[in-house]
Amino acid sequence: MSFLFPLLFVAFLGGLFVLTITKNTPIRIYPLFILSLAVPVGFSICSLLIFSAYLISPGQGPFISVIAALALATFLLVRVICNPRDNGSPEPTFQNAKQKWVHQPRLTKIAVILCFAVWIFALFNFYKLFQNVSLANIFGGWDAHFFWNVKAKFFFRNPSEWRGMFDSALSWTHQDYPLLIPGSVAWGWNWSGKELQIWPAVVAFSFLFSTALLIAWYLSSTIHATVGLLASAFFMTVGAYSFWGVSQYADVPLCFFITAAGVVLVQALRSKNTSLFCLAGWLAGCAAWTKNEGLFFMGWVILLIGFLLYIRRQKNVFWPRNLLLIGLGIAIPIAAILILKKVLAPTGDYLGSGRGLADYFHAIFMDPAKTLIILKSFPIYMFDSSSWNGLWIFFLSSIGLSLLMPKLLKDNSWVTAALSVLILLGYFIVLHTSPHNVTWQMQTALQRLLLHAGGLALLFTFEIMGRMIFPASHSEAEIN
Amino acid sequence: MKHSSITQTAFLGILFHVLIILLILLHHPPTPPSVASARELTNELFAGKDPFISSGAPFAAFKPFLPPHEKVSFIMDYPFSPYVRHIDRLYNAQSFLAPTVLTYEPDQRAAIVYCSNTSIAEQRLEETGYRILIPLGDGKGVAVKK
Repeated sequence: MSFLFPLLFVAFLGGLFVLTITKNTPIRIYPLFILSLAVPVGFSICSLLIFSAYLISPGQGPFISVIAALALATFLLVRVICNPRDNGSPEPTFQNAKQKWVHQPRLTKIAVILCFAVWIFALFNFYKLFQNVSLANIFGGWDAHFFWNVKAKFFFRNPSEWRGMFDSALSWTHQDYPLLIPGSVAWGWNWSGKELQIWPAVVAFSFLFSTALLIAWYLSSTIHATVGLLASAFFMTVGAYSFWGVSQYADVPLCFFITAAGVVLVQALRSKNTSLFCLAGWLAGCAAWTKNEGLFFMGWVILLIGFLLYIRRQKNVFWPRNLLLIGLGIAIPIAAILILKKVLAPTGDYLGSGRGLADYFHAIFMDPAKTLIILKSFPIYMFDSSSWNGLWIFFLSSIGLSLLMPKLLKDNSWVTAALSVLILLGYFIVLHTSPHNVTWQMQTALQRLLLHAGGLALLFTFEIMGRMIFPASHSEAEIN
Repeated sequence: MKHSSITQTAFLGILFHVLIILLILLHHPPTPPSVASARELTNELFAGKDPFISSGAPFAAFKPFLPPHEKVSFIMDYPFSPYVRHIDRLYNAQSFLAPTVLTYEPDQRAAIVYCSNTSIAEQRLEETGYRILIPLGDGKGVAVKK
């Protein structure tokens, strides 16, 4: 299993990174939290290291990036060993977990076991589907085959000519697109010294599975293990995710980073822990380092949190510091994006397209026919049951229920819904400005755009529905 | 909330989760394409082998004749448009031949000619001002500017 070592190293590096940032943070079910973030965060670090190393010394790029990653892992490991975790509460041990389990009511135990069985069933189905479709087309869908992995080949095959990927002749590869996926693919190829056919599929599966784990962690830690397991199993049955995931598109990794940034932000707001603001910033920055749409998400996060921290400034005297910490987390990915878009590939569909503010204003507000097409398309795609298994209907129902019963919205749980709605609102506006034919654009992109907000929508739905059964779920006070 | 309303709410929540369990259990993932010898292929992939042939493989024959560190034009049956027939040939070639950059404009010193047959190739060579240097099959070859 030649792909195992680069993957394990990525998980090790990402896990240490998250562990270092959150070591003094009170987080419930901490091992699952680390496990769900480890691989995607590891990929984000490795892709940024590759990008930086190739910028500094293209010919030595692969060597420098591996050495830098090893050095970073060693540094983080020493930090973790020398500064053990201290969040003011006793370290969870296997013995404690066993004690806690023994004292659970019998009905709860049966429910947890049943839900775990359902989760295993869903995981098995999901893996079989992924395996069979991958074997039928190991090279992935169009985007994966013809531009994400082409960029990875520029990284791998002749590092001194890697800048060829930004050549304007390759317009269909979108020269200014961020490089998290190509960097992650190149990482495995560089490590193993060959273009392993299985590696891009491994990267794609890692992001899907990490999203399922993240959902399980958040809801298990916030509501109850049964809710976490069922939500995670439900995610694995949503056809849109498995389809685009197995196609190796970047939309599932983007969904992961958006969802992760959202839930870490919610945890940060609940615990008022400064490290979590920084981690949320990093994850939001990684969303932008995955796809251009992540830039919009980053903007929404800064606006929403800035607004929240400002109106709550009486309770939280350090609000500018928290906002700065989000900015600090964002800084490295955004610096890479700026170098990419301003120096290496200064032309793109939006930035550098030559269109001015007046053009954008006209596109957004002066074309009612286009607006109507976009408005009609959203419900058609959202309520397609074969793709979503009813996710968006459940989400809208949960919003309705929470408006009827505002007590369900305790502990900032509304933030996930707000971000989800803001993302969709942003896309509704941006679709007006697309340089392509709007109908074609909706057919090719809308379902994938919905994926980005779907993770947060799913979390909100299960959190609200879960609170109905477990109204006394872990509160802010308990976390503190 | 009053006790009765809590019970009703809890009932609604439980109903939702039962519905979710049913949805998961009754979910039939789209029938995967039948794959012969799936186990053998999986084992080979896991062992780090590459059992699949890339759709760009036909371009392997061109590789030895392309000038290093230079862009190369790609001549197809028709002038470039994203919607033109057989455009996937260009994408496959680029994917296979990277880091050589292929341009769809006939503006480079060397060109890959990849047409459906010789008569189309001759016509396209005439239009674009190239001549075949290395013939590599019916309507295919490496060409240079006249």
